[in-house]
Amino acid sequence: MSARTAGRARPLRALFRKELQVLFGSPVAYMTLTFVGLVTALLFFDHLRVYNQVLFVYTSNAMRGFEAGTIPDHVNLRDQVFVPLMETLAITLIGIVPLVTMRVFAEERSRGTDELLLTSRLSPNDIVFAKFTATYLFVAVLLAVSFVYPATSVVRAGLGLEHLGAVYLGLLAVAVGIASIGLACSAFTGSQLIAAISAYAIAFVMYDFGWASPFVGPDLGEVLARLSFHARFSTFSEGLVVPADAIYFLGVAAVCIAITRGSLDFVRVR
Amino acid sequence: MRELALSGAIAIGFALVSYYATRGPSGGELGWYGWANLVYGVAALVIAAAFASRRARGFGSPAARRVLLPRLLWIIAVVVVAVGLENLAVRFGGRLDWTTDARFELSPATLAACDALPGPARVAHFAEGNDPRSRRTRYLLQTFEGLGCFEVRERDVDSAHEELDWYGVTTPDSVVVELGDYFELVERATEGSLLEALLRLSGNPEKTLYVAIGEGEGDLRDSGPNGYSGLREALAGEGYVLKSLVTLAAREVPDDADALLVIAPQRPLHADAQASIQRYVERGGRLVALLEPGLDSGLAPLLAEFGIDVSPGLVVDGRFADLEGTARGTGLLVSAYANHAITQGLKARHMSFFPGVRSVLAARKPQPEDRLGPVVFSSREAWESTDIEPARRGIEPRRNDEPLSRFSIAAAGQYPRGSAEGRLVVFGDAEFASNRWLRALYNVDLILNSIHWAAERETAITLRPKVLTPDHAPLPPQTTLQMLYGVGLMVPEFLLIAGAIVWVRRRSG
Repeated sequence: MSARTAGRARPLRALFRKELQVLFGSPVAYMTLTFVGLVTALLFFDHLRVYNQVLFVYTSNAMRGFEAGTIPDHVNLRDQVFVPLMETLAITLIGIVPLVTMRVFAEERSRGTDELLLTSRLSPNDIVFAKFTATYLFVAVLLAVSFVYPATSVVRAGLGLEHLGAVYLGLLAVAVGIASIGLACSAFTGSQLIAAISAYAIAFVMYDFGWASPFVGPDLGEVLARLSFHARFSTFSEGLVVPADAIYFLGVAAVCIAITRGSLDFVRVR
Repeated sequence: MRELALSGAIAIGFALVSYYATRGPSGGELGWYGWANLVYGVAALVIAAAFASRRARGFGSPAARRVLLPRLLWIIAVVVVAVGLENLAVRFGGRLDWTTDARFELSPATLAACDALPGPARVAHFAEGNDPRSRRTRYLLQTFEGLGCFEVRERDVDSAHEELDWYGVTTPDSVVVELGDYFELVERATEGSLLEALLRLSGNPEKTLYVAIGEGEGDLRDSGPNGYSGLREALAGEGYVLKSLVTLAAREVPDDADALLVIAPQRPLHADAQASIQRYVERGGRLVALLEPGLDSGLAPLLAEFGIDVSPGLVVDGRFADLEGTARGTGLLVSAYANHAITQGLKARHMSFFPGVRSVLAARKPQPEDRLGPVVFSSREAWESTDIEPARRGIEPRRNDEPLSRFSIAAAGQYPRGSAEGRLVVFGDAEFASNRWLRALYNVDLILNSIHWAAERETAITLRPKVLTPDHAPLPPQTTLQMLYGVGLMVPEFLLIAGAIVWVRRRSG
C-alpha cells in the first residue's frame, strides 16, 4: 500500500466507523430494527394462523383432504405464507428505509459539518463511498432481523435454503435500491423531513409502475414495467436469480451514487 | 415554493398509496381520490419546478458550468453504462434456478420434444395482472421460449374476450399451445402438462400395448391409490393404444401386439395362457411383467425358460426405516442401475422407490446369442426374507444369519429367434407403478422406459419432468407458538432493550 493510499485509508475507515456508530448508536435505528422485526413476526404469525385454518378446512372430516389428495397445490406454506409475506415486506421497506437514510447527508448539511468533511483529507468520492457502504450494511442487518423468524419456520416446513437465499437476495436488492434513492435525496437537502418524503415519493413511484398503465401505451408500459422494483423482485421471490435483475438494482445504486457525488459539487457551486 | 413542492410530492405519494391499497391480482385502482391527488401533485411539482428553474439561473455562470457539466456528463455516462449492461444481460439471458424442485429447468424429455418440433409452437398465455400463478407460468413459458420451443404472446383475460371464446378458456392463467392447425388448452401449466400438450400436438407414432386381465391383475381403470389409471394415462400420453387381453380366453397373443403387459396377477395364469405367452415371446413378442412378492403369478417357470429366475422372498434393506407405511426395511429406495438402454440417463442421484420387492435374477442364457442382464439393484446391504405376510402387516422381517449382499430386482433379456427378437422385462414389484407410487421419484421413468425398450421405441426413452408436490403439512400450533416466542418476539424485544439502553446512556452522557 502506498503512503498516499494509506494516508487516505485511515480517515476513510474512521468515517465508515463513525457512520456505523451513528447508525447503531441511535435509538431510532433500534426502533426501526424492532419495528421491522416485530411487524414481520406478527404478520407471519397471522398468515400462518390463516393458513392453518384453511388447511384445517381441507382436512376436516367433510373434505378429507390428505386422504383424498384434494388439497390444492397452491395451499402450501411457501405460496400461502412465505412469498406473500416477503412481498409485503418489500413494500414495508419503502416506509422504513428512508427513515434510516434521511439523516445521512442532510444532518451534515444542516449542522454545517459537510463543509468540514469536504475540506478533510477525504475526497468527495471517499465520503460518498463510506456513507453508502455503512447504510447498505445497516440495511442488510435490518433484513436479517426481519428474515430470521419466517426463514426458520419455513425451512422447518421444507422450503429449500436456495429458494430462501434467492428471496433474501431479492429483498436485499430492493432495500439497496430504496436506500440508494434515500441517500441521493438526503444529499440534496438539509432537511431530514424533505429527504424522507422525497425518498418515499420516488420509491413509491419506482416500486410498481402499474399505476401508470392507464396513461401509457403497451410499449411504454413494457419499458416502465422493466423499471419497476416489484417486477424485478418477483423473479427473486419465485426462486430465480436473473443477472439482468441484479444488474438493474446495481445500476440504480450506481446512478444514485453518481447523483449523490454530483450533489457535493452542486453544493460547492451554490 | 418548497412548501408547494412538498405538498405535491405528498399528494402523489397518497395517490400511489390509494393504488397500492386496492392492488389485487389484476392491479390496483386510482379512483377519484387517487386521480385528484395525482393531478394536484403533478401540477404543484411543475409550478414549483418552474419557480426553481428561475432560481437556478445562477448556475449558468462559466465557473459553475466548468464544475457541473462534467459531473452531469458523468451521471449520464453511468446511466448509459447501467442501461447497456442490463440490456446485455437481458440479451444473453441466463438465470439461476434456486427453487427446491428446479421447476424452471426442463427435463430431457421436454428438451427432446422441443428438438423434434418443426418450428416454435405458438403459445398464448391468458393472464390476470399480478396474479402470482400467472407470474410463475410466465417464467416457465420464458424458459421454453429461450430454447426456441415456443413463441409466447401474453393476453389479458379482461380484454381478450374473442380469443377466450375461440379457445374455450374459462380460467385465468390458462395456456393455449398451437401447432399447425391444432391447439391444446392447458389450464394448469406445469412443465409436464405443457410437454403432454406438445406430444399430443406433434402426434406420436402409436404402438399397441396389450394388458393381461382375468386373473386379478392390476386395474388400469382404477383411479384409487392401488389402481393403475396413472400408468394408463402416462402410456396414452406417450403414444400407446391400450387393449385388454383376457388370458383365459385368448388362445394366442394377437399379432398386432407391440408388447404385452402383465401387472401382478393375483392367481396363477392358466397353463394355456402361459403357453401362449411363451409362444408369443419365441416368435419375437415382447413381455413386460410386474410381479408382486408373495403372489404366485404362474409365470416363474415360463421366465425360467428364458433364463430369468424370480425369487419368492422379499428383499429387505435394514437401512431404511418404515418408509411410507411399509414395514421397516421393506420399502427400498433404489439408486443402483445397470448399464442398460432402459436406465439411460438414470444416475446414482436418481432414486426410485419400491414398496416391497422380490429379487429377479438374469441367471443364464437359454441360447448363446441371447442377451440377458440386470436392470436395477438393491444396495449391497440387503438380504432376503420369507416373512412376506407379517411384512404386509407392517411387522419388520427378522434377519437370520444370511450375509448381506446386492440383489437384482429387475432384469431384461433379448432372445433372437430367426428374423425376430423377443424381449422380456421383469420387475420384482408391481406397486411401484401404482397410482400411489408412479409419480414418486423416478418410478414413472423406469416403467415407461422399460415398456418403450420392450416395444422397440428406444428413441422415446428419457427422463420426464418431475413435479414436487408442495408440502401441505401444517406447522403444529405448539411449534408455531414456540417459534413466535423464541425467535419472532425475542429478537425484537432484545433490540428494543438495546435501543432503550442506548437512549438512556445518550441522555445521561
